[in-house]
Amino acid sequence: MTCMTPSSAWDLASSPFSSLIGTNHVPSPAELEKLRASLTVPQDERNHLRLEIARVRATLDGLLSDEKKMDTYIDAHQALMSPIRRIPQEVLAEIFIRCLPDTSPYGVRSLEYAPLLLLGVCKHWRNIALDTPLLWNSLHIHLPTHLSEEAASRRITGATLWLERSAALPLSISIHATPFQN
Amino acid sequence: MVTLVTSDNEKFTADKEVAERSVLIKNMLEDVGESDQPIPLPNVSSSVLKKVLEYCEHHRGEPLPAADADTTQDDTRKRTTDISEWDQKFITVDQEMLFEIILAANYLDIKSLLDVGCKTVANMIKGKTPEEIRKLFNIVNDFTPEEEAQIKKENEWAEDR
Repeated sequence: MTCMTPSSAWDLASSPFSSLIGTNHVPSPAELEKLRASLTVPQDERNHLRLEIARVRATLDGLLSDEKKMDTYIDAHQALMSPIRRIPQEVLAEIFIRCLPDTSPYGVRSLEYAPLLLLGVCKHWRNIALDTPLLWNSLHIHLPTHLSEEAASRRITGATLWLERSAALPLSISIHATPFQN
Repeated sequence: MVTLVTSDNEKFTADKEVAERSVLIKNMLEDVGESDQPIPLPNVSSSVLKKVLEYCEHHRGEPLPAADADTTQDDTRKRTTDISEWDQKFITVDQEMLFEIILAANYLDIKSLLDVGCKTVANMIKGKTPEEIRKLFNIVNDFTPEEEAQIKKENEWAEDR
């Protein structure tokens, strides 16, 4: 890097034209000549400064890219050490049972709640949830009149599949069906 | 008094009444009879056993669940994820320690401690999306796009209002 003029030298107040800056003064040819001459050094230094900024920016980009790669590497390895991975299947099943909503005594047909919520996390959780009959031996089924034939069919298929997962456990089912008006 | 030896070879002494809250230790003591022999616990580290004994000490004297209790019958109780104030404070630890406590409670067969641990994890899961759950526990979404599509289709019935 070349020797640069201290930045304080570029203070407008120290310019020989400070009294004219910010006015509508029309410079004379001699003043124009002086103005051009006074800008030679700062324009030259600004070019150097821009090159230096680009060099530092490239170095910083390189460092940030290295940091990102390291983050990815460390995160991937830390994920392997995640403590929940050491939990045996039967204990994970116990945790899942405690995830069932306590606001309803019956199973809730919603992706926001266990057991359906747990099926979408990963294959391992899905398999454990599907193999835990206690998650599936209870269900509330709502059959409103406005339900299309297609939706009603989907609901029956879904409820059947849900209850099949309860294996041999006794079932607890609540059905809320609105009677037809006519 | 009972002497327990952890995986990192540290010795702990505890009242028999406290140590016997672990069904595993209770059975071991019954098997060896009157003996001063230390009980090895190769699956429990000293930092975890310290916490486990703190729990057992606090709950000393409380009735233990029946050994032949049918786990399917207390489904309703399991759905309640309420945790007592003391247990809540006790289990406020980092994720690593939480799962270590759960593993130790499972190995030592301390049902009430396992229950507190499981409820705590359940409370961490409840109210989150699958993506948030994966992030929380460092779980990788390993479904293929085809499986994702299948799950989405399978879930359609749950989204109909």
